[in-house]
Amino acid sequence: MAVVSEAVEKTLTMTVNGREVKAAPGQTVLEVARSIGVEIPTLCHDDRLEPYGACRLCLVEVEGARGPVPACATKVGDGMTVQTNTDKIRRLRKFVIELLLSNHPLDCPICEAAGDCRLQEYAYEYEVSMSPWGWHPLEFESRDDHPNVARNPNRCILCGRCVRICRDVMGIGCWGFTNRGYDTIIDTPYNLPLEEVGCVSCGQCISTCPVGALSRKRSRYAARHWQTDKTRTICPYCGVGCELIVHTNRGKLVRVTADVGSGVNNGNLCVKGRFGMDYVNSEERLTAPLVRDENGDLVPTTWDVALDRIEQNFKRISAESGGAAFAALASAKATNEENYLMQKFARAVLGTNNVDHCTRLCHAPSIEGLTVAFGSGAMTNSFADISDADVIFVIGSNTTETHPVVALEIVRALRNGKKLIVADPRSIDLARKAHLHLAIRPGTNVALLKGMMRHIVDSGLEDEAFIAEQTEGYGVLRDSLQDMTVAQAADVCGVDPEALRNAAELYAGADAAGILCAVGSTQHESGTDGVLSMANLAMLCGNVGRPGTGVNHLQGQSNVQGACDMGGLPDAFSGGRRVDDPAAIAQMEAAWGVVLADRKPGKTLLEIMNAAAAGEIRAMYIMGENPALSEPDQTHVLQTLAAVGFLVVQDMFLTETAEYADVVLPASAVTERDGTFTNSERRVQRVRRAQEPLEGTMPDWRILQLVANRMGAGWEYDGPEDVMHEIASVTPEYGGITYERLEERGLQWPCPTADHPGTPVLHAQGFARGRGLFSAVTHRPPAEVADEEYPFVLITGRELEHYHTGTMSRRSPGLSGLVSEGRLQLNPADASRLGVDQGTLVRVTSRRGSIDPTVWVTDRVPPGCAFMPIHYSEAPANVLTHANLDQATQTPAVKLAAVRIERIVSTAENHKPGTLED
Amino acid sequence: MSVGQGVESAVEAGGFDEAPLRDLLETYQDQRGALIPLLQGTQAAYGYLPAEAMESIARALREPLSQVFGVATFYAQFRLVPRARNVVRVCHGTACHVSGAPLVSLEIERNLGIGDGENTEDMMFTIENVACLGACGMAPVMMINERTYGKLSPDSAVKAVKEFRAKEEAGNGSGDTSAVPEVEDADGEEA
Repeated sequence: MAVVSEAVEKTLTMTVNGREVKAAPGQTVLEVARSIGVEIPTLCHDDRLEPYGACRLCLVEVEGARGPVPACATKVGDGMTVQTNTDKIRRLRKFVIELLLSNHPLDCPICEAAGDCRLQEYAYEYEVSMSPWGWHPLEFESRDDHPNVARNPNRCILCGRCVRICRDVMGIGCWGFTNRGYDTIIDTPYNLPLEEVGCVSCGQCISTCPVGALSRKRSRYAARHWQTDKTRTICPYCGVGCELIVHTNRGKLVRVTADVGSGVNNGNLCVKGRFGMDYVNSEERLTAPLVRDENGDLVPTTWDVALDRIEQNFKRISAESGGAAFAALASAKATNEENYLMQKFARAVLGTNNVDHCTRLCHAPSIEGLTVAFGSGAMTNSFADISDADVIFVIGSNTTETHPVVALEIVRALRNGKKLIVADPRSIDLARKAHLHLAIRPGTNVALLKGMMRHIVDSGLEDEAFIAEQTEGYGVLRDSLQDMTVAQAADVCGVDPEALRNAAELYAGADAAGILCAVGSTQHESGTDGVLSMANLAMLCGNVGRPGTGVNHLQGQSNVQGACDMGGLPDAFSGGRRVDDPAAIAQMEAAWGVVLADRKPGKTLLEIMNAAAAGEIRAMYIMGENPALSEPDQTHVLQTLAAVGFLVVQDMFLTETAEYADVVLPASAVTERDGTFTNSERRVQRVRRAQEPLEGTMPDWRILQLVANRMGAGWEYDGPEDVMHEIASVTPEYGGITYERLEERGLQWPCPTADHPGTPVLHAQGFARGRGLFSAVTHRPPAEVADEEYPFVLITGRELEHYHTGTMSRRSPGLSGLVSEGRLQLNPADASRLGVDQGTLVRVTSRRGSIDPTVWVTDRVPPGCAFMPIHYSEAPANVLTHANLDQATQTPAVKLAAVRIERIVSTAENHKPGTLED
Repeated sequence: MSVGQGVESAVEAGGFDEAPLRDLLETYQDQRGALIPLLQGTQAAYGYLPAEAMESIARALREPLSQVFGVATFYAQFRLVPRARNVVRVCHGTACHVSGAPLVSLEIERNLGIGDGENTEDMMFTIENVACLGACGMAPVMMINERTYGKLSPDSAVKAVKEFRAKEEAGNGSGDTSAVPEVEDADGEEA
């Protein structure tokens, strides 16, 4: 992730091909040469990997050395003189290539790598004819049964890059060198299928293969490297915001790659980014607006008819009931520009602050908690400085599956000897890698954090200077810790008190310790308290405001941060300025040229649903969200959606929510529009159009403008860039942001002025609110705990291969081909007690309803717990969840529910998956 | 590589006796460079490297199984499958090679229906092609267990194997054969 820092001082002087160059200590000859545009050929080198020095192609001459040295593995020295392209060196390189070609298949005409193959390129550059030793192509047989990864070991040059990227960067190690000498082959142990050796289908091995030994199976024969147009854009999945290179051929998306040295991901991608974009090519895309006909069926129509229908109904309801009868849902999957326009439409045109989006279901408590404690609700630090921490404390984040590319930073830190503490009920991948795994009972985060703080205070490990200089309210915290001893906290959490003390000492003893969290710590009734507790802990130990520290919540969708920044919330305009602040109101009225009708915070997502159920909200406009699956207590949500007087849904697909709509507007895909996303680390990045919008669809911003203008708004935006000008003019944190400045690596807000470089670490010059505020927090058990009738605690969450409600990921064969059904994770002990096995169909019942998933027996979940992914409409976890709220933010505690699990005895014919029962 | 914590959990109960492996893992706990001695010890204890042991070693070393497997397949000394009760070593040293060892091998393999390094289904024989048995004067040469058979033809080699099998099956312990010259401690010349 961290591209070589430019900050290191260049104190050395050396000569490369007669040219004097400044270099930094620790740099390699290869790095320095490439930095001044001198190309040195390499086969076994990848900037993401440690130098290997195996392929002997990067040999260079260094004055005074005994012989040629590998540039990739040779550190520079002061006064070093290097020649990279002498006749001798060229002869040596040619020899290496001749050897490689002597057993290479030379099937370039049908090789996926042709045109993007290092061996092909160098054979040409070094004028290698057929090998002087004759040609003896390899004849290995190997299995090739992975859905996404195509293998051809006969093209392999044994550079070991796939072996090393999987082992060192991913922390897995699927591939290894098998056998010796001529028989050497890169293979899985025992030639097992990749799925059985921990493969996460990230395709990192493909990305590093310099030849065609590993390639993409799904895009075989789709287009040559030189035939595709390549567009840099941002991944539409999680909040990491990886840069993608989208390849299109004649306007059709054919594959996705990433460039090493670019983006927050530095060429790394997870399975969703690399193989999950096919949904834009889906046959199920909506290509015309739909309206209800007289029979109540959704039928295709023209844009004019659809817009007429919206105009008539919106105007009628507005006239009858005013702005309070409307609600709008912005979207964490839409761009900043689109979210800005959606909230502007709601506030300035419809006259309501009833705007919210699915951040309410995940990160509202982090925003609230961090705003209270620090004065800014965003992730404090940057991905790149996670590995600067001496201790990383992960609580409530299954990072490997939900933010895979951030997890690589943790893997890197572990390789560099850093310590990892994981608090999670499940034995997630990181828990297995951790020095300390605190397998806490679900919903006991606050107790754990209090126990740790109690031990820190009792042992005098707190950072007195930081507390005195930068914070207030310490006494309040210290007093509040008296209600629970370390032993009591450990007992509540179900962990060994010694382990809890160890964790506290590790965290407090580190020079820099960072907290990483996600919805595992927020989707509880005590969600905001959990975040306040993390903030307390961080301040207690002075772990705020420096690289490697902070409280860092990882967001689940590509633009959670942006949708919040843009005012897709009931209580805030863009930039978090409150809607009941007279100064903010005055500013927005001036900017928008309207008088704002609603001057009080609007309703939150669940309040909107309740008001709709009560008939108080009569019209809803939903952009790119799928509350039918994403909200708790699905039965209630579906009844509500059915009851809404007039529902407009704008989406790429006929989602479970759109099926309830009166008008459905077909939106373009993320690859078909321009705009910006703001990732979890507050980095505003450019989303670029790689294809024309699919015929019949329009980007959300354009649709919003059409709808707004039907309502008399008179908007005249030329495009997203035009909208960004307006955003920058009214949003202090975005004040210095222009598309031009975002071109290279984006900018991290706050970026208030045109010359501001952006802010990688928040609170570095003191807290945003002046002083950090400690809060008293009390542990409260989850509202629903296991009892006799519902003896299991169900944990809901995400899986690596899928995303949110599956509208995108499940329509991408590269993902659905890996995992196609929602499976209930169950501990082996519980499974045998229930008499169920791998794949057994079970009925899971909570107080709200039941679903019928199959069972995956795994020791990832502890006895007494079960885990259900949220992505599957056939087995919707949210049938089971409840809508008890975190009081501070109205965020539902969807993480946990008490359930009972029974084996289904009846025949499969009687079974209707996903039916709703009470 | 060194054995980390969690030796206990590294060895999972299964169909195989983990006690010898457990002892080995304890012996090498926290030692760097322990992989090869561990593999050697495991092979000494089990006669080969059982998959269960390989997985346990990988877990204990906190290394991917692929790396352990890579080392095990790199060195000729390690076996991933158990040996059969009797080992047929066919010499492919220079002297044997020029005197027809390839044909001898071919015929034995055809007769037993297995290749180099493989076991017959009844676990009677393992074939191992080796570089030199040190009996070049009697080339081509093979050994069945500790017995050496020299001046072989493809037919006589097969005959020897068949007779060995017959005696084994008759319950005569180590098979014996008189059809071909038999040498106890042949002093072959290095070719």
